[in-house]
Amino acid sequence: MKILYTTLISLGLFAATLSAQEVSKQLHEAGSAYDAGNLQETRMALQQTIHELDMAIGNEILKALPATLHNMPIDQEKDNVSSAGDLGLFISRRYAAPENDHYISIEIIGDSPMISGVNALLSLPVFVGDRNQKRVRLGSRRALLQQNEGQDGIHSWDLQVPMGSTLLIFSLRGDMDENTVTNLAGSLPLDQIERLTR
Amino acid sequence: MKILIKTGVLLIILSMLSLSLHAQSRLIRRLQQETEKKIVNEIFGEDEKKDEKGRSQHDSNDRMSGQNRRGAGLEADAPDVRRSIADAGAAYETKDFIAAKRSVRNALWGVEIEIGQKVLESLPTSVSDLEYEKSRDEVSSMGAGFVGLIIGRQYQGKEDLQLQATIGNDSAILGLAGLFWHEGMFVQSTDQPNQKEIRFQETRAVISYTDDDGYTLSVPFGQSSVFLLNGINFENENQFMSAANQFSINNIKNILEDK
Repeated sequence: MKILYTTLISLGLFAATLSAQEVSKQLHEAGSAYDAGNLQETRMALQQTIHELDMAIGNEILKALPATLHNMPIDQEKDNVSSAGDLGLFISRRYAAPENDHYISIEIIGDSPMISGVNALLSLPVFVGDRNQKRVRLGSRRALLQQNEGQDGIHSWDLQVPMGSTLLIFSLRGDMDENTVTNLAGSLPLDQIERLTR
Repeated sequence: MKILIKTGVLLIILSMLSLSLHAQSRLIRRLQQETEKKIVNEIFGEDEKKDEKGRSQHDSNDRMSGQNRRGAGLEADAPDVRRSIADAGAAYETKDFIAAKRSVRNALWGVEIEIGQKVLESLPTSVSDLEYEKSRDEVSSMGAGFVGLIIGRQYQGKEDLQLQATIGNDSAILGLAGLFWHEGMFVQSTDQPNQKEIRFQETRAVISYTDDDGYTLSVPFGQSSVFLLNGINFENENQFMSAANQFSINNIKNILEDK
């Protein structure tokens, strides 16, 4: 087991170093291409750098999220960070209970010009007409909470938290009430996530 | 003696009358002067005062209106690409990823402005009888993204002729449009008699016409670029295409390196 942890940590450190090298390499390539007057090469290298930086930001956010949530551990295989340049940054994490199919998932769609429009819609009460939906507060933030009842009778919740040009979607499945859902969402490092995706 | 007394009394009365008339005439003159002064004041003086008051009130209102009446706008300012790349590297070293990303975006914006300017330099400054309007040249970008780099130039002709050239590059939307195009999914229909597929400088293109927008030529090229030309108040398709042919798609492709 110890060997497995050591290997995983080594792999993580190797990936981080590789990413750091990649950003520095891309910036160096961009500078050289610009000095040579090759604007398209410069542009491509800079776009690639943004992608690499997004990946670094995504990993920082994953590191900032709690190791367990509502006594559920992280489902490591589901950790995901992807970026499509200025189309946005997508980060996801899942916490799952091994003994049943209860789970909590966090999805963050960040730094996307499209999300600003969604956020504006979410902040308008006129769009909240469904009786299973309500607006709730998480500290100083407004969020949209939706309750769904599955065919097996187990409730699930979706909480959408707009933060500038970032949207956080907090989904839960299990026997939880509204207070538990909002308290769990409120325990997330929302300020840090917003700052990192701004 | 009686006559002497009568004459004396008459003289006194006459002199008193004369004094009275003189006094009356002075009074009347004074009244006249005062009246004239009053009238002059009434007509000019008070109005001037009112004008001054009105003007000062108007000025005060203008000052309070919040409406801008002066200003030369912003000076054109392009980011320093080398500096932004260096700043990005320094921020990344300190693990300030947000600052690094901001600097990279600045650098990217600077590079895209330069690319846009090169494309604008390659476009004709006059097309047929239309001259370009330098102040309306436009380069805008959201970085690599949904909209991409947009380059625009506008031409004005005699009377009401207008031509707007727009080049879009490196856009996700245009990439999808190009895919749609290259897969042969564009279908001509008799429902749309004002739109047809043509070949424009060895490239597939669509020309359309509407009474509101005039003629529009759309030429998708490369992986994610498009050339759009909109002509307003052109007499017919031939006149519009003659103007369109003064643009070189190959030049634009070469500068954008999107072939």
